[in-house]
Amino acid sequence: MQSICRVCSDITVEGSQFCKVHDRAYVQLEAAFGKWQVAYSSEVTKRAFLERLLQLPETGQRAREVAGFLLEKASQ
Amino acid sequence: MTTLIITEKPDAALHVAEALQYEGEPRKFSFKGVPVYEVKRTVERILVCSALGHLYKVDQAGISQRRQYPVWEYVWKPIHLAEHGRERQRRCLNAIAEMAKEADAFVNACDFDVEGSLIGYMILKHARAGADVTAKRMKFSTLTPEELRRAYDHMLPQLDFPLVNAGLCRHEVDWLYGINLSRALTESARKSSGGYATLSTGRVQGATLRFVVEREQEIETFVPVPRWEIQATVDVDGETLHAELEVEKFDIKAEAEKVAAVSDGKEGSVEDIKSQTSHVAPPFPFDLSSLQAEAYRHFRMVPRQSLGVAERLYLDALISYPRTSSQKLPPSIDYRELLQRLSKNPNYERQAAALLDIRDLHPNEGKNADPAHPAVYPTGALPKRSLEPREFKVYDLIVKRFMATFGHPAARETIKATISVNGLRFYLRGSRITAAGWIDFYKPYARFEDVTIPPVSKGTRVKFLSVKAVEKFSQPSPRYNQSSLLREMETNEIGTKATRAEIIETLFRRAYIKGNRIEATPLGIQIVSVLEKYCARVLDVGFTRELETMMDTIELGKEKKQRVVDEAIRHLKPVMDELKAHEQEIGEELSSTIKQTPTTELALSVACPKCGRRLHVVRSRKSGKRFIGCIGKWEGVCSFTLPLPQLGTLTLLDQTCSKCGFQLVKVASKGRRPLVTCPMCYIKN
Repeated sequence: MQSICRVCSDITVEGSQFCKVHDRAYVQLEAAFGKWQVAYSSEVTKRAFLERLLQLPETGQRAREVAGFLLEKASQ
Repeated sequence: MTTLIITEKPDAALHVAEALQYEGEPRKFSFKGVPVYEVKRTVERILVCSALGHLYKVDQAGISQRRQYPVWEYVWKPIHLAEHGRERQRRCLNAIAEMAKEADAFVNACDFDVEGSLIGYMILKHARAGADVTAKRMKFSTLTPEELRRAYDHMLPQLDFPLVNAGLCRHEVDWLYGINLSRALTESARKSSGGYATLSTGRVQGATLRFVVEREQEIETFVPVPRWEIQATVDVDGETLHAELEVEKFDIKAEAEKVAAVSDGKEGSVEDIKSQTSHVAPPFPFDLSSLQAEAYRHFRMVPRQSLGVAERLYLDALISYPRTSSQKLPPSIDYRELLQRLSKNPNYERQAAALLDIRDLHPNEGKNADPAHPAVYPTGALPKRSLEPREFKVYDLIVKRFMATFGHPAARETIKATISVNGLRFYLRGSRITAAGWIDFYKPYARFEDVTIPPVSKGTRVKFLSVKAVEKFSQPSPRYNQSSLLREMETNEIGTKATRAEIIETLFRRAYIKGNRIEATPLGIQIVSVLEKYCARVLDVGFTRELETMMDTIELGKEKKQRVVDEAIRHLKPVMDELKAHEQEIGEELSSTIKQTPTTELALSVACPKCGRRLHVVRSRKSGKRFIGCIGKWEGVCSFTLPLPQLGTLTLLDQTCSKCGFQLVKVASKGRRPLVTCPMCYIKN
């Protein structure tokens, strides 16, 4: 059975909770978090990272949507 | 003896006739409603008649079933039989066929390239049996009388068949790809949604759209990463300057802050000064791509507009043929004589005179050559009419670029002072032009800003007023603009210099892309998604390039046209099988996006006559009525609008009005004959 993307209700890619574009954004986001931790000497939490991403104009729209989803999920 | 000469456009016919008439003016008369020029020589009577671009096109063989696909059988048809509203073309073909009966010799004097060779060949082939075999070919790059006379006196003994075959092949392959893929998409969507929307793609169009969609997705999924730059302000002998740290950026905040802490407020000293003079070579003469790029950079003129303007200047015999990939000037032209002619134009008098003082005039040429035409250069002729502002801008750019190629290299002096503070190195940089050379000839298009630093010597004390670690974030790749997208196509060797700008326009017209900083629309993204899923090969740049290379080899006479067409069909057939088998899924995937795509995204290919910006079909939110509006309205600078018929399905045609040149529209209503009209003439009448 096909499952739907947690962000946009499109069909998910295999092994992911997201559709193709949101999955790409999610992968980028996870990779970037590692770089942020190195940059701030592990002083940045995942929540702070996601909140900051939502404020930055450079963040892509799909990445923003995934960040928003992850934040919402974390607060539940 | 009567010779019939065919040119590509009416203006070219006049130039050819005037050049070949030794005394007086050629006689102009109307033959079956078509203007013809008669040139009388001692023993020869020459009739010069113009085509109106292509008079033949590829179309489906037999009765055309518009919704049927795949289609493999095709024929070349007179354009008036293949398309509605081509009355002028019908008259033109009939007149040429009638004149051909009386003619003893035939000459193709269309532009010397693939399209021009094909236009002349098709007309002559069908005008009279055997005319294409006996016809000769005029080869010229400017419409100046001298060159046209030379081209007539030294004609090629027969038509340039390698170019003709390359043209036949390109049109046939592109038609097969375009008609089959577009019909597959359109029909899939129609069957699924019940509505009708024209969806198109093609061999080059699909690959180009993919560039934009890939960039769009890269931007949409971009996650920024922090980095730190050191911003230092220093005091040197009472002057405040910015200094650069030798390390450009830091990936770790603590490291950047440490650097700031050890240098902020401290005093350092100049430990080394290096001065260097480098030479900046003059630019190459313009090929079409570099002309389009410069016209975009300086005037924000999109490639299709700059090509249109350049063609207009060519038809006025002011510049050489612009559709060229050459960066070399023809050795046959007398540069000195050309500059003397340019010096008669007050705008270039000073620069031309300065160049005429140089004893040996050698242009700085690039390595790209084009066997058909040289780089774009001015003919030196004075404009016979007042040039429109856009025409003058492009003409000025071409003239100054041409002159700049003969200039001496410019000399640029750069100074780098190294300041040492607590084991760190900072730099002060300055630069200035010490000899302008070619820059003088290319003003205002060449800009070099001098950056001065005060005189310093080893040991000069430098006070670091402020050193800060500034947080920055990585940036996504920039969106394409029309110029950079065209360059991407060129780099990937897809499309031709003649078609690239038109393909970008089609993507705008189909509402697959939008904006000056080009964005892919949801429809464009969906089209690429569907094609990627069911026929990824169609979007493959490598495959498109492979076909281009094969077509180029026909042009060189090294490959047979039919073999390339067969190869293209062999690749396309399995693609069409796949599309047909998944028609329903494709339709479902496309139809929801089509419904969300508003008509406001339909863009016209002609520019706003008032301000030159893009025109769109807009639907009023208040009244619901549709009309043509200029995008300048949103910028508050232009209020140009034109009314449109309100009922029926509106389609923007690839044809322009014969009277005013505005884009034609078609309105189709159920049970009625489609109406083809010009919105501009409609309002005037």
